[in-house]
Amino acid sequence: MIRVASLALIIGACGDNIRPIPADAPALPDLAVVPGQMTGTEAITTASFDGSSCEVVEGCVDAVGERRLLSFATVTENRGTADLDLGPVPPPGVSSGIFVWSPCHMHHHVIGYASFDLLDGSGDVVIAGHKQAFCLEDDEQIVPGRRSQFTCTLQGITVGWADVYAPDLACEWIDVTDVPSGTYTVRVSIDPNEMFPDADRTNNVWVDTVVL
Amino acid sequence: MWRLGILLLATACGRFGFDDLPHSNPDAGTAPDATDAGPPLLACGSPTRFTIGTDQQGFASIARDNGFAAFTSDTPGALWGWSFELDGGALVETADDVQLGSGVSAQLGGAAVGEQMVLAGGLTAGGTKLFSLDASLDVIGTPNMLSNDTAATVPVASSTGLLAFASTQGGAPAIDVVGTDGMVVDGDTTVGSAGDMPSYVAAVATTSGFALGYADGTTGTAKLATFDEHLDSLVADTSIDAGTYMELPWFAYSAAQNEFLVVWHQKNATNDDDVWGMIVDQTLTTVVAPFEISPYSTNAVAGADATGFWVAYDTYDPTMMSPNKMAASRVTPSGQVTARPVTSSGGTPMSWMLVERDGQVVLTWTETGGSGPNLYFDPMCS
Repeated sequence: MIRVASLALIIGACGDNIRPIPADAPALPDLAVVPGQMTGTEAITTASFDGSSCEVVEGCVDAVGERRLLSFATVTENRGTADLDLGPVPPPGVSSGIFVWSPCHMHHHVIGYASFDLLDGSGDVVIAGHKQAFCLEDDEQIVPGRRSQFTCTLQGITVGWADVYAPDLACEWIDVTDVPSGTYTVRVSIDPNEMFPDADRTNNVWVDTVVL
Repeated sequence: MWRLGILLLATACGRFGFDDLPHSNPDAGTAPDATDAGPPLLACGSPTRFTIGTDQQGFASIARDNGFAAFTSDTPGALWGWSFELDGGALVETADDVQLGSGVSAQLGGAAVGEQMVLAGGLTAGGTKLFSLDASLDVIGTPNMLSNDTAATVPVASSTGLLAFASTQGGAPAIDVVGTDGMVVDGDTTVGSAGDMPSYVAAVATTSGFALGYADGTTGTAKLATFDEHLDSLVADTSIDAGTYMELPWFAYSAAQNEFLVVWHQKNATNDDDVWGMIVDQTLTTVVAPFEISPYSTNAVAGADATGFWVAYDTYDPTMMSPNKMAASRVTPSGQVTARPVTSSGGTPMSWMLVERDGQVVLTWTETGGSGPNLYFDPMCS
């Protein structure tokens, strides 16, 4: 059973530490992690995969067979002044721009939307940059005021809404099968390659301490 | 007997929750009854269509004794209304594009007692305004400004003709009893806390009083609490836990069964969304374990009539070759699901809710990109 440190460290703005937006600032999305819905969701699970499983095909596990997985939720809200609107997806089977066709899932993913890392006590990266694919949509209303607009067929995040990936979903994990026991830091970085407009990138990273 | 208490609600995305009362006319959707003292039910078959504004940040529909009303809030924040009356079995528009206010967000929801409506509109500047309206959409008195109530609310009617108004206060789900004038009679009862990161707060009328439902963002579960008509607690805040992350849960109450149907959507193994449901009794104990209602579907709303539940949702083609469609299903008290096709003009759904009028559940929804009128009143008939 995993033990999770009681204090989560949040890089960047917490909910009560939002930087004011200048009145003349252009309207932009502000993607931000939601620590209150991520911290404490970590769990260690085991699962078996064969060579044809999507988790293997998409690189969510490092090998076939039984794997030890550190799973957790990823919740991203748009607290900006403009919707993150990714526009229509390409035709089936076609990858274009940020949309990558998944022949395993038979739909498009936004590739590289988030990366999951595991760091040791010295801050050195133990497992780097598992790029998790997402279907960005309005899953939860964080701030009332706007109607939801986005689903897997028209992807994005409306202002005041959040995209939620629960820890029980496939690939919402880091494969820690080969990681020695010890205390580590799990890190989720939203839009690490800065592909999307974002008014404040300091609130895109969530970290928490875990003991494996 | 013609029922006075008609209700229902709405939320930000246009979905609305719905509650049910004892039915005087459970034979929903049949031909008009000449012996009935009130206007007939909508006839089953083709939906009745009208044209309303296409800029719909918020959308709400209310069923009254003698008809329906529809409301939208647009991007600049103007609040608009349309009213419809039953005339010899046909639905006729009686008020068109009436501006009722400004500074309104997407959070709209309303209910009626008889012909008098209360419409709750979240304000972009914060707070919520309760408008008391007659069937002609004339505002009665001065709208009640509730500065401490944040929208994402769902008002409903009670069996006694009172209305329950749901909101968040200080981040916590809250419920008030209000009169048809929009004034608070009994209120400021909160459940949970802001720490639950609640969303999709909804009031539901029951035969015992009210229920308050919401999504707990920290656990991904739906939660319900029940109250009597004076808001004294009956069953404390209880997780309706499906063992998965329940996205945008919605609640319907069946008076006939004294049970709640909770619907939501959840991601599956391929990260697609499927609509699921589960049924709990009045003690909030599970009666029917989670069951799938529709694959590749999202944003479900639910309602109940005398013989079971109806669920409406947005359904999509997983290959994305064809546009999203409005769809619905019948759900029996034992959890059996039967799909019910929804007629459209080929556009995609914008906003939808289920309203109940004299025991008949009506899918009220709007379409974009289709042909002809964009507002549908589609009675759900078995």
